Amino acid sequence: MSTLKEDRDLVRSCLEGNIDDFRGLVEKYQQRIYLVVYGIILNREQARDLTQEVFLKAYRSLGKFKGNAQFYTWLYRIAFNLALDAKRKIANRVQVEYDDSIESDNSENYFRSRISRPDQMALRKELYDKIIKGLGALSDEQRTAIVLREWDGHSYDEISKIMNCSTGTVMSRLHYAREKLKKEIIPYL
Amino acid sequence: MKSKICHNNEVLVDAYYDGELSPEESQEYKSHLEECPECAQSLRDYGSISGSLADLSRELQLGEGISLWPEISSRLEQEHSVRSMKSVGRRMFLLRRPAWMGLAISAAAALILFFSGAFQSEKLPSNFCRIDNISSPEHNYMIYQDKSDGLTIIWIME
Amino acid sequence: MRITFCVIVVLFNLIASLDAALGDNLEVTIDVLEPSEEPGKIAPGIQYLEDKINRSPLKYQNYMELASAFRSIPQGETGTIEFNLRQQLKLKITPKDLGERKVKFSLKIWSGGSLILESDLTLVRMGTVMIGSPGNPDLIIAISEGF
Repeated sequence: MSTLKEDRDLVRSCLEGNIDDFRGLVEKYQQRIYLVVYGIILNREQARDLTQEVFLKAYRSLGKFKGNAQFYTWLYRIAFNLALDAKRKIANRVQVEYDDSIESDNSENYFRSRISRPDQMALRKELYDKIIKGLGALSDEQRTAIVLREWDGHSYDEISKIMNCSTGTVMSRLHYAREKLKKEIIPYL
Repeated sequence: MKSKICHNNEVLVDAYYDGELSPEESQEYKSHLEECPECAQSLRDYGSISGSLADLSRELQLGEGISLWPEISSRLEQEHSVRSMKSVGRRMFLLRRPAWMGLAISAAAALILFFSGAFQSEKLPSNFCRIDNISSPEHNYMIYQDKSDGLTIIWIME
Repeated sequence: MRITFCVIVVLFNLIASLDAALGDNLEVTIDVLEPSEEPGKIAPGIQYLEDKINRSPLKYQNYMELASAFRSIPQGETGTIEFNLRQQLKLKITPKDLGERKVKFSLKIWSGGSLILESDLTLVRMGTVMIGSPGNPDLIIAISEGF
């Protein structure tokens, strides 16, 4: 796959001192890492800050990346661990500050929604709040698994490498996440 | 009433849904679906969940044309220059605060730390396992426990 | 002074209840591995165990992931997990105490119809304990808290 080769070349180039090639990696993965991090901490401002931290950490550890695994698996593992750490530091088992409003601060995104009637917008917002609440009710591990699968399309094998668990565990996390989300979301659809 | 295949393996529906089954297993599961309305419903529900999650992810975009690179690169440059600035006057980085404020903050912080359990005893090894009791009617066994992470292997012998 | 005392009591009760309210269920994931002497890489599904296995006295060439199961067992109940492998494996797990950092449970394992192990274990959350079960072939059962 050409993608993998590109990553490896970019990494090698960064290690040779070409910091601008790190930009390529940042812009390639920032959105996807942001989603994974958001999936863990469910707060957009914090997710944005943490995403930066992920890339900073990756840059500092670039020398440790052995190149035998895929770069993105390594990067995602950093994201997963960093976000998990951050969340646990914030509050042990205490309710995390979830986004209570899904309205984008960037109004362009908001108006790009296909539905334009105000009452339908309100309904949609309510649905999103329900989904976020449902996600919030999952364990960190279940939420990460479902996010990696649904938002980033990773295979079970890839998820198991990122989360450092067996594929059986990946399946059980997904299964439980979906069962729990069913209860929250389906009555609403 | 659940037939055997899904009763024995609850996650088959996920594996099928996510395309992780082999072609033969997939075929087998497809036939199962024809006679199991519960699994068929589960699949439909999973589809709805995927759709809703996909919609949500579109709302969570960083923003068109927004790149985190400028902030990241300036942080990287800062770090690089801080390292080379070590010798230059450190004093300017010290913040001045009234003395009593410092005491109040640290007392409050100590209270918070105490109630959050940070003063608990040290972190347990990642695979800490204590065998409270153990027996085997007909076999001998050996117990191995790793010194660093506590990994315990109970090896039952023939 | 009295009010401060009451506040502290309330806080302590809150912390105590947090501990108990952390879930009345024990979540366990069980992976059954078959070791072999044929050279090869550890199966991708169980790579998370690779580091642990390498540091252990187990020195097989290779491991295969035979089966996997998970259960969410309410405290006070017993979860039964059966694997239809060449060796009939049956596990019964009964949660005893579910704390914030550790869980306590009793474990019974049958192989080929006979009870081979009975044990009470205290395991750290997210930790793994491994049991080697003799037979043809030898099997390794990895029991992990959480999923």
